[in-house]
Amino acid sequence: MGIGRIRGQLLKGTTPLLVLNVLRDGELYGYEIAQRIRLRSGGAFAPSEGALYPALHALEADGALTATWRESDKGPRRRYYTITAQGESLLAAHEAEWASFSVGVARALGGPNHG
Amino acid sequence: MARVLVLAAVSVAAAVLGALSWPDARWLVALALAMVWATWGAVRMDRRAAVAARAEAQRRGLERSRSTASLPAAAEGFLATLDTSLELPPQIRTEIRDELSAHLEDSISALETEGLDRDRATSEALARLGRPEELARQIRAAHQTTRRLLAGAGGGIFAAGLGVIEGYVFGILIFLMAVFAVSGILAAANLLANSLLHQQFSMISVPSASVFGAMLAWVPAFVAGRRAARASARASQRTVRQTGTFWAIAGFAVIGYVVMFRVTALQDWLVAVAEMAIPVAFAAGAVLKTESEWPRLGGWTRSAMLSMVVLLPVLGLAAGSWSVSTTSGGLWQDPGTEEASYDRVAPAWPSLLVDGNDTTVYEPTIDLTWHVSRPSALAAFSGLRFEVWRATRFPEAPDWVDAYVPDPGYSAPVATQATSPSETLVSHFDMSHSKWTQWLVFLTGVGPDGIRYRLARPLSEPTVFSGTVWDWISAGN
Repeated sequence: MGIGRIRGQLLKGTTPLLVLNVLRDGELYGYEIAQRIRLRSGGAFAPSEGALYPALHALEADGALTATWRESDKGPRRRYYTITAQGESLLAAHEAEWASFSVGVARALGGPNHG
Repeated sequence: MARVLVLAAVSVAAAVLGALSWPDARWLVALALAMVWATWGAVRMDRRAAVAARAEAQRRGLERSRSTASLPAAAEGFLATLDTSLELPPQIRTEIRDELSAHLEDSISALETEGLDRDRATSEALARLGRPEELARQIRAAHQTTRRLLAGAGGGIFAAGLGVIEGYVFGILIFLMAVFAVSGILAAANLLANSLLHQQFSMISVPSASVFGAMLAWVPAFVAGRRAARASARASQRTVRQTGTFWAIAGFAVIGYVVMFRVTALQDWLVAVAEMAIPVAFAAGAVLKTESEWPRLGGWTRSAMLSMVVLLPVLGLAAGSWSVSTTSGGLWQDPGTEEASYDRVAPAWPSLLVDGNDTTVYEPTIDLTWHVSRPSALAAFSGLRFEVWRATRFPEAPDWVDAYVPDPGYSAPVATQATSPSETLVSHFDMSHSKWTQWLVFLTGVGPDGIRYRLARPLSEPTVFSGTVWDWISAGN
């Protein structure tokens, strides 16, 4: 299994967490969300754009996000996503789960140096 | 629209003919007004639908051209494949297509800014989205959740209920038009029959009313199927084709079961067919031309359908439900000629001992009250009994309307009831398990010489079958 594939597998489960996290700062449309995640990770990773839209639509179906069409001065109209109160709760739960998970993985991987 | 007007004009003309034919035609005038109003509504609906269709086409064209005008052909192909693979309602597909179109435009533009030429930028942007079929599958899975499926089922049931109400209102308007046209045609037929055949046809019999009732249910069934399929598609975010197939099968099974085994009505073959067409109408509403609220049929198709609505009741009346009334005052006209036929039951006693009068018509039972004119003479007979015989027309008789003879194939008494001589003899026969509708009721008794004789004029009694469609199908003759 190559590095890219491993990264893809790791990112797959974290896409909703990353999406909700960047939307906490305000409404964004799909392409902006991908760019914002890439920027925040220092270019280290970004969710696959193919996984981003299914995640956005699933979060919207779950009530974690709302979407609004907005006309643009330049280019086509865009679909802006906003996090809901339910999404905030979900994000908090995701973050807690991720913290617990990452600590556990670090411990399992590292022994004394990864404490 | 012109065809609708022509059809309405024909119906009005038929109605006017009917009004002129019948002395008391005030209700026809009321129906005429209702039908004109219905026609006006139909024309307005037609016009409004055309305007809405044009506006929708313009909007779609504008959006499509605006959203994809600047995309390369490869990106257009990607979006087209995605669109066809989504299997979501059209409005949602359009939104997803627009969203990904905007994404591709941004992505290609950004990659060009980074130094890639347009073709490479396009390839890279598309590669980042992956295969369109897989992307469509994942987005579809995100939309088609179990919760939405349940909401779709509930919404479909609710919409079907509203559709029934809406359909009944619309159906009544169509029904009025049909009744009106039929009335005119029947009035014309009646005039013709009066003048040429010296016969009076009764206009509507009870089975005919049941046929009309079942036919009236076709419209709400159709509308309910349509509303259920479309509402479910919206709520569950599935295509109308998917939900329509489900509703067609489920609705046909449920409504078919109810109609076949639960709904009791006055039955004949025409009523049974009309009733069984109700679940078919529901299924048709759920699957036929479901992209629109109403089927957008061509002018001639619509005219043909409306014509069928008018013609079917006429055919129904002609085929199965016209009853013939007589004015000759009974069947015992000339013992010399008629007696031979009734001798199959028993030879006639030389004089009438009992007068009968039929008291009940159009029921699955025959209730009769017979008045004994000579009780002392009747007392000489033993083994008195009423016999109900299946009756068929006697084709060789010149006056075929009045001549009934028992069908030799069914000459066994259907029911008998012993009674004793008194001033009044009452008989009751339950014919609800027989499809046959015309009966001859005889009073017979064994005379002093030990021979059984007919003692009264036979009475001709019509009955109708009452029960479910299954009862009717499974009943014997």
